Amino acid sequence: MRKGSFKNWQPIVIGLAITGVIILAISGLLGKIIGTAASPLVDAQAWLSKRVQAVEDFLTVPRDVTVLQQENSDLKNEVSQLQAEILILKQQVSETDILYALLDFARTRPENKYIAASVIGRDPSPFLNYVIIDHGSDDGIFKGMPVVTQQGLVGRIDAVTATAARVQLITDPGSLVNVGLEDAKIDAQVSGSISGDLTLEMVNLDANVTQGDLVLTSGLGGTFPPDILIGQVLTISMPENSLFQQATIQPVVDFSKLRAVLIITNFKPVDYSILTENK
Amino acid sequence: MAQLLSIPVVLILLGLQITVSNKFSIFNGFADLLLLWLCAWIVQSKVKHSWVWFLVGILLTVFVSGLQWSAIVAGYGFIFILGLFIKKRLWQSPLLSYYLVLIVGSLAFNYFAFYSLRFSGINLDMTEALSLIIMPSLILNLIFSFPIYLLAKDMTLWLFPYEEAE
Repeated sequence: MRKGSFKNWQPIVIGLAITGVIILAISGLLGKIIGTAASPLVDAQAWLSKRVQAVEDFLTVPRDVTVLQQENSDLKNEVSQLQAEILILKQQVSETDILYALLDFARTRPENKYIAASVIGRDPSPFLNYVIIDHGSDDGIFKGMPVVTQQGLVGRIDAVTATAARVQLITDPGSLVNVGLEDAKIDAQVSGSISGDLTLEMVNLDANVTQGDLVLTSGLGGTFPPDILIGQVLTISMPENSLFQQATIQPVVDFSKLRAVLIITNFKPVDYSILTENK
Repeated sequence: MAQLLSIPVVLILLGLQITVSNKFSIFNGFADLLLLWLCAWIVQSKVKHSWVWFLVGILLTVFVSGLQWSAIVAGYGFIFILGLFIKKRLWQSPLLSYYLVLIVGSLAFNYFAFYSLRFSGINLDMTEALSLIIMPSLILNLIFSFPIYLLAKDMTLWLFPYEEAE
């Protein structure tokens, strides 16, 4: 009887005990005990977790390295492509600046018609100051046409093919340009040299030439249109027993950095070859 | 094959000459890459019919340059004759032949250019030409000479491998 009654009470006692423990746990009274009891378990779990992570890393890292190497390679390619694009864009900006400057110059002289061309080479002989441009007779360029930049006179067309032309610069030793001095109101000639310097020649001894005078084309002879700037008088010399004064000219155009030029297409230079042939 | 190659090689050299060579200048002189190549080519013992290379060089230079054609023909023609002459006498030492042809040829070519311009009525001063163009060009030619010689030698080995084996 007693045994049977205990068996009946057993689930109730166990249920009450569990409920009591739960109530104690909820109320926080068992926190320290649970913490103390769980601490070794947590440590064991941390240890196990670390080892599992290490094994997982060991198994997965080689795959990640391959992926990273691929990504790295892709990014490097992208960087090189972008750098190349930046270079191209910088070059385009530079060319655009030059073209805008040339356009500004063309707008200031609406009476002339222009063709813009790029400089693609220089004469293979060091004795000559010629440049080669990328436009030829197909674009309406003919021998003798004047060539300018936004700064001033460059030279004239010396030879033409269908797609390219050769320009004789005013610094060439064979070049001779009739000029006038803006302030002094005199006519003279500017000649080139093998050193690339410009010299003002045939200046009358009584002419008052001063440093800084602007030198412009006079239009005499009909080889160049008038009033195109060439440069400034730098130094004046009067050689002994000479009939004329001489001066060195600082050109306004930097011939060493010539990249784009304008060809004046509606100017027809006077052709003297017929006269020399008749002789 | 070797003769056909003369056209692209001369074109490339002339292209480099008009775009790159003048960037490396001393005073107003710069190296003449085509002249260097022709000097290096003619002294190679295995090379035959080198006149084809000179002819292509002359034609293309006359087409591109503003220099009078007579000066170009005389300059390269002189180098060709000089090269053949020296090659026969110094056949065991092509490098020595090369430098002899190069120095004499380079000076001669520039003198031909100088006098052709003078005869055409351009007033040039010899002292100025010597100090600003002729001597600086010669120095630059000497600087670039050895790499060009090696290239020419490599090309002859590539073009005439069987004769090398003999």
